[in-house]
Amino acid sequence: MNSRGISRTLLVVILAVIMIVAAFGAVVYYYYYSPTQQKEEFQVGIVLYGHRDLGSWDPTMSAGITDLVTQGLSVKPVFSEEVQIIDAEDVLRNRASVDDLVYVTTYIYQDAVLKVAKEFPDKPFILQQDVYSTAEELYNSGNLPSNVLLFSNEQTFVQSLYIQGLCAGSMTQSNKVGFILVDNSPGSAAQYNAVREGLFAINPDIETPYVIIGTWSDPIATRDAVTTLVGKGCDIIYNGMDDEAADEGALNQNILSLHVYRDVRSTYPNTVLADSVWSLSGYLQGPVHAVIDGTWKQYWQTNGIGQVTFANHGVDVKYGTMVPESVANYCNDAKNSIINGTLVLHYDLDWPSS
Amino acid sequence: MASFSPLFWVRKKLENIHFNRDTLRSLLPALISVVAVFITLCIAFVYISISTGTGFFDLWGSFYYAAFGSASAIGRMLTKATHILIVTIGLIIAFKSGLFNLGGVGQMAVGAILGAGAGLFLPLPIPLRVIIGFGSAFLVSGAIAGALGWFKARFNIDEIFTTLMVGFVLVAILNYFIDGPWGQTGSAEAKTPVVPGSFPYMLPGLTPLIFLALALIPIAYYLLNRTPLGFEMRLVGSGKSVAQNQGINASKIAIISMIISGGICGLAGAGQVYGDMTRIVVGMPGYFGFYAIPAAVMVNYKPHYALFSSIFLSILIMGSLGLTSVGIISDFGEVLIGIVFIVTIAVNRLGRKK
Amino acid sequence: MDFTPVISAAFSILGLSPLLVLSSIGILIANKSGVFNIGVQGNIAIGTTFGILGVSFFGSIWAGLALGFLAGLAVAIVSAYLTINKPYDQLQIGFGIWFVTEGLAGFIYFMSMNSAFRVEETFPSFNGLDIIFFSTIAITIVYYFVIHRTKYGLAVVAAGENPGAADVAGISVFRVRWICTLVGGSLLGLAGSWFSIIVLRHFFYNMVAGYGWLAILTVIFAGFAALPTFLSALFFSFLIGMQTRIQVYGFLPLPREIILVLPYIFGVILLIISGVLRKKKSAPAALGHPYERE
Repeated sequence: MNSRGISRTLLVVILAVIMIVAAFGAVVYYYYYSPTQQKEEFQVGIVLYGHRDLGSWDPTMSAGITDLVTQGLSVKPVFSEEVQIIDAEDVLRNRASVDDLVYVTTYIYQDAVLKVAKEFPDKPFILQQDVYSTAEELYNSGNLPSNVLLFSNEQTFVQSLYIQGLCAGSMTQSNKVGFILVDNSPGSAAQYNAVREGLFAINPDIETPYVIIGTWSDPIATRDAVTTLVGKGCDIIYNGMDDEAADEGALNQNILSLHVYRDVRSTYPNTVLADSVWSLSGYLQGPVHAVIDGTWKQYWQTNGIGQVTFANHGVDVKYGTMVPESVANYCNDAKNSIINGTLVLHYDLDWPSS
Repeated sequence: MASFSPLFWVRKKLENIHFNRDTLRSLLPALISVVAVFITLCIAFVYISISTGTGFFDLWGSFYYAAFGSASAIGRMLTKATHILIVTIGLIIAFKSGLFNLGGVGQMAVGAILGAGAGLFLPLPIPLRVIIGFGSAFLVSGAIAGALGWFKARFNIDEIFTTLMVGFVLVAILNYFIDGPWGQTGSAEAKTPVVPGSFPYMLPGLTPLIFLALALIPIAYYLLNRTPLGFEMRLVGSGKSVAQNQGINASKIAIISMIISGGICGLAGAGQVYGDMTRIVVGMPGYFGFYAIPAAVMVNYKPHYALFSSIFLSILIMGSLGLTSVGIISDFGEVLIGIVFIVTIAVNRLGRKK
Repeated sequence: MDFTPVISAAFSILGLSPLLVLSSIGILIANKSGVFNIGVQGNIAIGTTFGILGVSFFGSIWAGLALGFLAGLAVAIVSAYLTINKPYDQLQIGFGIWFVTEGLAGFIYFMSMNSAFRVEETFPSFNGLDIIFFSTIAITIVYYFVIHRTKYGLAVVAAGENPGAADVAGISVFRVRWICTLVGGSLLGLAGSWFSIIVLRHFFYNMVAGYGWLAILTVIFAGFAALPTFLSALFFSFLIGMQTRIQVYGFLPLPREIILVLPYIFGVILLIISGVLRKKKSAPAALGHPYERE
């Protein structure tokens, strides 16, 4: 055969294969993969910006569901990881078609959630929020579809960070505490101010230089930020990032760190001074059971904006081995005062002028 | 009426293209790419179903469902294809003149900044803002690309790197705007307020932006193949000395083609704001600028086929986003596109007369 | 002025520099022989993945470094075949390789490792300068001597400048380019694995974003010569290292996002300036052109 013949045969073969591919696809789609047929178990879709076991934020948020599974609840958690904001809409539509509950672990997907939830009015969504006032604004705006449940982590941060501030204020020897923060949003400001409130309650002269990294995870810049802050004299660092690079940096520089989201004291036993350990399963238990029982629409209606606090065991502060008992007791007393309402916090959502 | 629809004119132009053996030969790589994808997916799915226990057909199902399974999936797929398509047309114009404009991402960023800026801040009626937004996106992007083209023409500074690096810088500037002066106040996440004048949806996920993209195809084809400028551009692209013998100022042509190329990529950026995201969010412009490179190469820089490669890549993207629902992270889509790209390049050698 | 930040910056920059230096030297070796791979970003990323995988499976950081080196070698084999044996356009293949390897770097890690893994042991170091840092100096010196003083180095330069003449002179252009690509690619993999194992001790998604491009920029700006490449890599590491310090100490009133891309800004400006001033093109003449035996 000449080249013309060969290319023609090749073309025919390839076209045939393509037709098989198309037929294959059609068969698969129509006979096998249709959203209702596929699922046996009750399925919770978890949408993450990062990965379920990398860093601090995403594992903590996923643990809200996976802890429930470990405790015996029979749901199947399915993860969508590494979701970019520009792809969020598409991922959420896929999730909503197959899951019984869509748990969106971060507010950065808010726009996509609002859009997709309207298209799936009978699917329950849970959306995380940081700042309570933003959540409230959204709740009251009339734009929130009734199948989206909001919960805010503002108190989770603020209450536990105040206690961390008390602890750090009691333990710092240089009276300088450095902060490594993700961005300059109100949520980060709240973290900064909450720790400062605790620090100033012990000693109003503590200095608090900070570095804003600009993104949720940048290990090199974070590591460098620790070095820089140590150069400024800090002996305690607050790690506001979504990973442990700052604690690693603190370990390298032989100083102490304050950690948030999950318990990393076993990985950094001599570095972590205090750790705000979040456990969202306490809060998420209610909504998940409501969805399983089929009563979620009322639950969503009556429960407004959830808050994860000391009181409902959504967060706790754990201390490192270097913290003497007197300091730990003092902090725990303060924690109890917050729980029973005798201690009211005055943090701010704006950056301090100094 | 049909004759006033842009699609009619597109079809008319396409009819002028003769379908002969050369056309078949240039379609061959595309067909083989499809087969390559199919085989790759089969292999990957076998590996994944063995290692994670997800069913082989589940994987195929979620892939197809995400790409084709619903009206909104097709709409979203077409929107992604639109972004890629516009940038691809821009790249094709540069490539035909022998210049490698790899700054598609950055030029999209500039277009997004100007488009959103015009929409948010100009004290003019909204349609006028949109026009100025797109127009300024074209001009400024084009100017930047043209400047880099000038550096290549005058000093032989390789535009491959300057466009690429400047691209990264421009994306950083975009991030500055959304984090700083244009950031939505009170929001924890870096994003601008919704830009007024954002296009309405015709189908779920699909805006009239696609008409802009489709209109660019015959414009680009006409420019390259039916105008003297296009002829000169292609001549310069095939060899500088050939062009100079004809008395053409190669430098001038190079700069003009870069201006047009950059301008079109800028339009893509403004298009992403108005026609898809309705605002600028962190993560924009995303991967579209880079995926336009395979889209352009795979069709051998022919604008009339660019739609197909854009749709093909978009299907791969949507499919891999759907796979995130069954636990495969979105990186897989990048691997797929890379393999398709390499296979197409390899096959191109087969299809071309030697 | 307070010099402490500059001194601490100096050490942290030197400690960070092997990533850029090794990558740049690796790219330089391949480029010198006429092979250009724009997809090196992915090569480094693959190194980071396999570095951590190696430590996790074999238990020692040397194993991790070796695995990263081998992973870089594997990628280099594929790209060498596609660019040297086959006359495909190196730029296009490079992008294809970039997509595939960068995607695989994340994909393979998350398919194989199911939990966050931290590397326990590390190299002894003097203020952050460890054995790899000193090796990079050694590698640069060895490279210089091989290229300029041995006949093998001459073969490499010939393959890069004028492969046709080299072929006539009896040099196997294919073999020279293959070896250079493999060596270069392995160094890139090593750089990545060093970074994830020793510096970060942990896998972060997209941890080497942008460093591959910076390494390419470094080599071009340095004019494809050994010592300037080494110094340019140090310079760009300096810019990276100064990022947080500029922010905290307020040296420059620039927004944070711009500070993050300072290396690229400098790179473009310097590229343009050096292009304007330099009359003779310093890249190997046959760079980027596949050599086809007639």
